[in-house]
Amino acid sequence: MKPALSSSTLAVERVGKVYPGEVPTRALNGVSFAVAPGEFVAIVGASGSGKTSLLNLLGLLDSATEGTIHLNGVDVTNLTPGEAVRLRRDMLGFIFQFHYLLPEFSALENALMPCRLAGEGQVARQEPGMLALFDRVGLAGKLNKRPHQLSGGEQQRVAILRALANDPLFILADEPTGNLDSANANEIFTLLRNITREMERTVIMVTHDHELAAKADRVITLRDGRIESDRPASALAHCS
Amino acid sequence: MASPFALSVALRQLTHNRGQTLLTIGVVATSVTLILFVSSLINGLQIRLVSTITDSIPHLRIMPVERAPEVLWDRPEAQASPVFVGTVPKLEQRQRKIEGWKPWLERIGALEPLELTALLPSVDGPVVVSRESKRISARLIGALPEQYNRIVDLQGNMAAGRFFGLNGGEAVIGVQLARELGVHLGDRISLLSAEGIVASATIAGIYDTGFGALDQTTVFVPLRDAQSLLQLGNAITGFAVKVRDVFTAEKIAGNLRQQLPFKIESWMEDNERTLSGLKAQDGSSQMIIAFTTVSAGLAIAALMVISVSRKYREIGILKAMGASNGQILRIFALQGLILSVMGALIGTFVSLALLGWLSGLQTVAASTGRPTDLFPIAFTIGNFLVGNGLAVATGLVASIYPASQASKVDPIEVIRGQ
Repeated sequence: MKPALSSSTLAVERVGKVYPGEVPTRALNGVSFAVAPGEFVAIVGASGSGKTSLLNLLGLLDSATEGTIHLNGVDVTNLTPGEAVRLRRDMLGFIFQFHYLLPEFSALENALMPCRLAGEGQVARQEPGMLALFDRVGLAGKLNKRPHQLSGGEQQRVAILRALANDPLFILADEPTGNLDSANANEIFTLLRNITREMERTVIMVTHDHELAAKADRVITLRDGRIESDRPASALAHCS
Repeated sequence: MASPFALSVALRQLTHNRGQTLLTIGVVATSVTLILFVSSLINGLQIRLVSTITDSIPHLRIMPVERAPEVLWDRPEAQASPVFVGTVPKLEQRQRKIEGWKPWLERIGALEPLELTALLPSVDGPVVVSRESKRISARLIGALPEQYNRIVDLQGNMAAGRFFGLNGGEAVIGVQLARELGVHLGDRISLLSAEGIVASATIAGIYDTGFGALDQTTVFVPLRDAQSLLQLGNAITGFAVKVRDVFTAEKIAGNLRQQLPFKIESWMEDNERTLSGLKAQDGSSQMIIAFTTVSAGLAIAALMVISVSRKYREIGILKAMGASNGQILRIFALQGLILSVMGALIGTFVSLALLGWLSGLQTVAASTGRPTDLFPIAFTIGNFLVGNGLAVATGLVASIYPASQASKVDPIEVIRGQ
């Protein structure tokens, strides 16, 4: 059952996004949905359907032209750049298609980078938990390896741990397995799914992979900037 | 203030990209070496040139005013008259001398007590020095040796004999004059003044200052002997003055001219061409320093722009994770600062080693035959501060553009760029 907007941890109401230019481009139009705490939501759609634009708005990297977005009850529609930076640091974790780990830092240091951004005290607080997570994802022996010494799958696992470093409420993932072969993609997805479930974190994942999307709790399909469908993943699997 | 995050990222990136880091440090170090070397060399050359002039002469000479006829048409009451016909007669010059000079000594000393390091009476005039058949025109200076040594250090440059404790009937001459006359210590010479007085003196000392004009043409005798030889009685021909800072000589001369009834000449007035040459040299040195600084700045900026463009994606991801513009800016500004400080330190060490080696190289001066420094190096704390200050400031300024470019990276563009 979909959560009501008022009780949800993430609420998007009639959000629109128009990119200015000689011919203004409308990327999103009247998008509304709500996500409950701990829910794993997949956003699918063809290229240009507005998936990444929506993720940018949820990640406070861009601002909506219309509508409102609430994260954990905070209206994040019109934040100053400083407020957006603070909230991103405190409430959000990002996973991208490419890991973009810093080559100068070890796996553990990369994973703790968001804590380092928040201050050295935060690093000390989160390090024990991060060591446990490294153990959990099978990278305990590679804490001090540099990114180039890790395989593609291992790099992406470090990127997932980096997204969890600050214990964020929301994980925003943009094609997190898009750069991996199918075996690695399934493994990484399962890892992400299990860890976020155990930690009761809310995940919004943009993907074009319908197989992976079907493993989420819920799938929102975008088409030309509008929500074409919003249903449980089980229903999508059933339909396909 | 540098946050631990910015500092750790800045240091890691610098140590990770060793080649680029060493290249940038090399550029800064080379610039600092060049700046310190050029400024120390130019400084040394100027000091050598100025001291060549000022160490062998008084910085100021205070003399009686020349007699000149008063021209009628310069008088105010003559201004209305339409025509004057006539010539200006040349007056017969009386011997220029200062009688009753002792009160003047005190008065002049009181006018610039902090600036004058030596003020003493002197007598000088032309003489013909002869020994057997050899006759040479020379300049006679009568002085109190212990005092005059503060104007020109003769005692410290004696090739033979002494200057201090010069007695009546004794003279001190330069090594070149002695060579030309073929005289040695203890020999006697004859001195014939323009007044027709002849005196003989025993060579009590032969000096070798290395200043050609002095060593070749000047004979020093006690003040009393010179007064007798030039028929001055108790008068003197002027005061010789040394000032604390040689470059203030003209200013001090100007001040004294307004307060004293004497003609006052400074060494700067007599060496105007040399001084304007020094100024041109100074300007060239500053131009070299300016161009070197700009080149180093551009090199640092170029290398850092490359670094920023290579880090474009990582910067975008850091910003997506919550790095503020300020944190990103500080990473690259710190890199600029660290690179320039490291470069400045290495450049200073290299230039000190280079200057130390060069200052030990000697050559023989063609004019005097004396050994002299091949490179007259004068390294000062001012050179050090200017060279290092410029390098560090340049590093910081040069890093501002790439740092600001880095801080403006839009994480959305990085994500879209996938």
